[in-house]
Amino acid sequence: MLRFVVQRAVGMVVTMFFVSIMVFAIMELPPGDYADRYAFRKFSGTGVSVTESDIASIRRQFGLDRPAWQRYLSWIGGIVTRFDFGPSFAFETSANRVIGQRAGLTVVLLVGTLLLTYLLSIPIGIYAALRRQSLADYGLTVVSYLGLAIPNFMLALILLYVSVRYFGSTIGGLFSPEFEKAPWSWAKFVDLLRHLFVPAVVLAWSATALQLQTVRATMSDELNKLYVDAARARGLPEWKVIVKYPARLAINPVVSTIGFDVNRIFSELPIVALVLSLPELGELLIKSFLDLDMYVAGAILLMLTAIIVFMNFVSDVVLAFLDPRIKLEGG
Amino acid sequence: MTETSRYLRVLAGAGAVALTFQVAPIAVATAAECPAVTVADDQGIKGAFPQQFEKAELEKAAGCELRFKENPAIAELNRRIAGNPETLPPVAERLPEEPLVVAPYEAIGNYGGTLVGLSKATEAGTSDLLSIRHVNLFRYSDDLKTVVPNVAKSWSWNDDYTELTVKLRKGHKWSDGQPFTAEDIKFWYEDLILNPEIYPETPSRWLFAGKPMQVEVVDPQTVKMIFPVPTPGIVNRFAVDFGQPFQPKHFYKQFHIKYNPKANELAKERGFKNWAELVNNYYGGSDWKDVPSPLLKGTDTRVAPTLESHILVEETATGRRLVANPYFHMVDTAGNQLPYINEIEEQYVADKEVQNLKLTNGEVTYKMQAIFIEDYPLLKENESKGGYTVDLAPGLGENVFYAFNTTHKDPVLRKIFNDVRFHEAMSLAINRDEIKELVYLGQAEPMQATPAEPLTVTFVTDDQLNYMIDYDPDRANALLDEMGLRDSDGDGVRERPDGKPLVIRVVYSNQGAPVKLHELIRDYWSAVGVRADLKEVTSDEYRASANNNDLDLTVWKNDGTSGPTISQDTSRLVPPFGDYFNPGTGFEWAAWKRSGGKEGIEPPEDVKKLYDLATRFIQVPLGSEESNKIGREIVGIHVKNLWKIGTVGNIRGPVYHRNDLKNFKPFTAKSFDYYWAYSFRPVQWYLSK
Amino acid sequence: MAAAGLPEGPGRSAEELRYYTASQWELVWWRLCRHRAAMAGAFVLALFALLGIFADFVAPYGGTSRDRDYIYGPPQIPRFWDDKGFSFRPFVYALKTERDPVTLRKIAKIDTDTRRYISFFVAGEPYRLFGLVPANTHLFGVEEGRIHLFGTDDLGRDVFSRLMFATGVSLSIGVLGVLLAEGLALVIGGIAGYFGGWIDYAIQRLTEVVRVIPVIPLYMGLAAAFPREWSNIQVYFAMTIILGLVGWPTLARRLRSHLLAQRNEDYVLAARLAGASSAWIIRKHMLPSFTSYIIVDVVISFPYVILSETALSFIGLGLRPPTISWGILLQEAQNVRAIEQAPWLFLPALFVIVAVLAFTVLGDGLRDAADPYAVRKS
Repeated sequence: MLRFVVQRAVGMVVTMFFVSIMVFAIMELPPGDYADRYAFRKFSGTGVSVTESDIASIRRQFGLDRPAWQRYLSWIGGIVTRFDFGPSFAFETSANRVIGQRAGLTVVLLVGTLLLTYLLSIPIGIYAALRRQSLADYGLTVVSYLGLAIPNFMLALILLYVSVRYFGSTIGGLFSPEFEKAPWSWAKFVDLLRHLFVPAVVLAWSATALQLQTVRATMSDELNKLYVDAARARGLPEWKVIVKYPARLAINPVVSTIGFDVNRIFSELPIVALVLSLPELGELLIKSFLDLDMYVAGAILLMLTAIIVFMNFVSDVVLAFLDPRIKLEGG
Repeated sequence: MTETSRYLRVLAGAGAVALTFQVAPIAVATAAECPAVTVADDQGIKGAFPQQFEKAELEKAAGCELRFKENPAIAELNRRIAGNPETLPPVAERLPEEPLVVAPYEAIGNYGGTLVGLSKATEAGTSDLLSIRHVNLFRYSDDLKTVVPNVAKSWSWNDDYTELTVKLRKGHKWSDGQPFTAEDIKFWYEDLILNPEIYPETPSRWLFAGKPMQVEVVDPQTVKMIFPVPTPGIVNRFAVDFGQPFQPKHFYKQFHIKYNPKANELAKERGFKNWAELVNNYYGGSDWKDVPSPLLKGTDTRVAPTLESHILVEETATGRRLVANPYFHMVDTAGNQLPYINEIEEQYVADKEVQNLKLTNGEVTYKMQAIFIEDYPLLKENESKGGYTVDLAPGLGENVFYAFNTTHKDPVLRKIFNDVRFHEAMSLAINRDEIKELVYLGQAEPMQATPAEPLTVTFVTDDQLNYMIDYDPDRANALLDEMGLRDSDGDGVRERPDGKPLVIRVVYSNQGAPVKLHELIRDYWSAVGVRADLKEVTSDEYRASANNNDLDLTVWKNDGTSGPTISQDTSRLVPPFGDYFNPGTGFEWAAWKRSGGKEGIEPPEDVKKLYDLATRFIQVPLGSEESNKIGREIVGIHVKNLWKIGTVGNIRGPVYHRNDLKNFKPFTAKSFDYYWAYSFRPVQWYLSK
Repeated sequence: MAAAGLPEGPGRSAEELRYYTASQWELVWWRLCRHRAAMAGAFVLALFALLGIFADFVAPYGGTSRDRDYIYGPPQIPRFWDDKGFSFRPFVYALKTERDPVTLRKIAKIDTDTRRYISFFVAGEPYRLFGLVPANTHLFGVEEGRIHLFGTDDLGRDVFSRLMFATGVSLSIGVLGVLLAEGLALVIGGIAGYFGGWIDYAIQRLTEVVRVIPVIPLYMGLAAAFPREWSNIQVYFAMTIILGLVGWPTLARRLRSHLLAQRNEDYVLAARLAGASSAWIIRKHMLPSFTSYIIVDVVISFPYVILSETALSFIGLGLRPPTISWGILLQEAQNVRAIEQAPWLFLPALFVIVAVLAFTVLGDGLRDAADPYAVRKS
């Protein structure tokens, strides 16, 4: 078991190394760089004629004129040794600081969405498997697929509209202004839920659809197996028959795809956050790409990917723990 | 003395005493409180400048004594300002000896409340909220024609407009209580603007014919600016510009190498590379006031002192918070120190729909920038639900122009674009009435593009505005036929002299003009056989391509053209008829001029005339007969050549304010050129309870 | 049909004979036909495809023609009767929109006295069928004035017409995208499988790396890198190809593990014992098992491609006007004003949802039909 874990951990590091190169390549792709943007910011509307040499000197100032491999090394070196993701040109401070202010919300959204997804998909999936081909089964399937089919930016806007118009909640951020600085209390927690509601529902709905089907399919497969009949024949109460083995096995694929879910969520989060004006990392990522604030964009990309890779690692280990066959195959 | 005379004397004495007691109260009563003069009810009292007075002026005109009162919450607000002394001196000591006395629009306000506003991000879409707290030496009154004093008390010119003498207010203090004097103006110009480590290249707008001005401190309240060339327009600039020509010298001294030889060491101690970086930690490297502050960057808990009505106390990635400046130099006619409003809360909302939701929900107190006419019906319908009012105000410099590249790299296109008949045809092919209806909901007027905004100057003629704005596709076709551009293969697109189809690539950014407009233009031009291919790009890409002479045409709003701007900035009058951020056309002509004829393409005679005229234009005061004459000639040349083809102008746009915001007068113009709300005196707004 | 398992006794019925002698494809097809939801999905998709291909004909107007009199106007529902009596021919009322002076909103004014009868196969705006054949007949229209079944947008363009064109564009791009992705998957997976060794390992690692990066940010970075001169369509095709490149690892990996697993199945062993060569086994036994897998995967990928197009167009990375696609139409509806004042602009969303559901249901049905073990305890 230990050998397996170590093997996986090493694989994780190797993957992250390649990912960092890929991320850096992406950072380099867009033409132009922050020097142009900075010139705009500094001189906008002042009637100053910005010459190429101005921009070149700004470039030198930011160290953007060094060759790519040098910049890569200093970037990755800074991250690995000092956990320093470099400067944020747009905010004139370190990328760490900018990201730190938003990372909290992203993590909360991620956790909230995952929780909601599993809370919904597992019980519903099991129920649907038990009532296969019934009206309830079809109905639930259709409803869950709606989550996949409705474009999430549209859903976000409509839910937001409904929640503002009919439920009177304020928009943007995790908390209403009154609660932002206040100490934790039940009311503050409820306020948090009210704000999390729209983004979590939008993101979780499509994730639930997939997981629900997986749970349902695995569950049906298991229910068809002989040992279930045997258990029933032996007189175990029905609920125990379901929960003791089939349900637990049905959860396996869910666990194994946590990484995939996180990836999907991080993919959809930027658009949803953009529509809902939530100050979190995905939205910042889009902004920094448009602003060519490369260190921030690269840092976020790296962080999100690291989380995904880590989740993959966790799910592999947990799965190996649960299902010995996987270990033996070596993945 | 007889009995009677003694009696009479007593009587006289008693009478005298009685009389004294009668008269005395009257004598005391003449030192009365000043009447609450407002614009709505001016009680017959007027000052030299509209809607405001100097203290002495008001006291004399109304026969009163101005007694100062303060915001009851000001002590608590002061405690939130990092770097301010804990105990506040009494209000009479905080105000200048001669504060500016402001007559509110409707009523004397009450103190309190928070004004909530929206911007897009730390440095995007912020100028609206910046303008609420902005101060400068002067200001335009809300008629947008009269310059009135603000920070300055008065000003005077010498005969040939080369020396401007400005008088400041005695006892005027920065937001931390330190004195504000002429030294702060001199410091700003000589030690920041001209300093090569802060500005490696001095911004050309602070140079006059390429040379710096001289700033002389005559005494602490008097400063003289000496210009190398006549510069009457500089007063206009100080009345509309975002750049405040003063910075707290007492604060920056400790960081500036000129005054602190150990500045570099201090910088390194604080974690900066050198003293310039340390200074920029607070100054931000520019005159803009929305640059990230030390609070956002986490490098300090205090910001540089300011003269504005509110000062920054909190800044995060999601918004800013400001509180009232306890040393602000204005009071109302009853003596209350302004501003009335305690706090400003600025939130960042990047998405337009979330912004619309917030607006219709009544969560915002005021907004003018970045609300568009297409959202007006939605906002108007929800007025009572949200408890706000939305009005329409004419925008300035909003006329969208299409400017063909007269110095195009492709010689065939260059020849076509230099033929004035082509410009005329393209202008006649545009159905401006339809644009007015579909894009601007009827809130505009068909109008040609002129380098001077007609609402702000008096020398643009109707003929010029109506030139070639008819919708006449037949005539357009005739002109194009005359030029020899025929459609020989019947595919609906005319061919160029070299046989290729005449295709114009319209590259645009959605910041410069509404996208719908381009779709309509494409239809109009293809109806006369000129195919237009649309491509949307980011603003940065648009600017980069345009300035690189890569585009077939440029399209943007015709801004930077209002009177105060062109009276001291000629960038719209001569090639490239714009600047880096809003490029026009004729880039190679500009290169020719810049290089003294060595590079670029020699421009036609009309253009050469413009250089001359423009230089003369800024050396005479705006509004004078001479200025009008030159202005008319400049506009005439532009219009005749149709370098920029305009669509519609006088476009009215929405201005939003919540109903609890009082003393709010509907704006007469909505424009960055006059710095948004600045002319409409946001300092006297108050929030009703 | 008989259940799985050998029949007992002689004298099998004709039906049973047909069942046992049917080829694999026929079996799949029969089972699919019984899956009602999947058939419904297939029908809907076929309908959409027809609408898309013949959009010029079905749509009463061009995709960019504007009705100056009816701007931001609600849908017109054809009627068969009103207080003036019954009519065999459906008709709509004449109408126009006028601007409310206070709110500047366009209000529709219906003229209930004027009937406009709907005719079929009318002459209208000219177009070229398949871009080649000039024609001007449209499925339906009105003689005078215009008919707007789904209302108009804020430039006065007919939503129904635009929706027809959008259907064609979105579906065809979906098809192209998926085919490209699948093709790439097969090629690259095949290469990895064929050469094995370090090439396989390297490709494996690369797929993992690419898979792990969230898709939208990846797109943003790539999209920003395209040259300025490219037209919208060129950019979009490039994006689709990249979509394919990003999508192939999943399929390739699954194919690979599927193949590896199948290798150990009993039937392969049996075939080998019977003397079949590897090539025969692969061709006759394993390939069929994996083509059905591919088909299912293709069908299931469609929704993903279509939704990606809508999402990308939304950010501004996908198609842009004047191209018309579902994503573009949705982007135009993506504002509060539309929710409150023009909800008919959301009708394209209905098409997207239905198409996605149809693909998903069809894919599910195909998968069930192709999977021999699904016929148990239904």
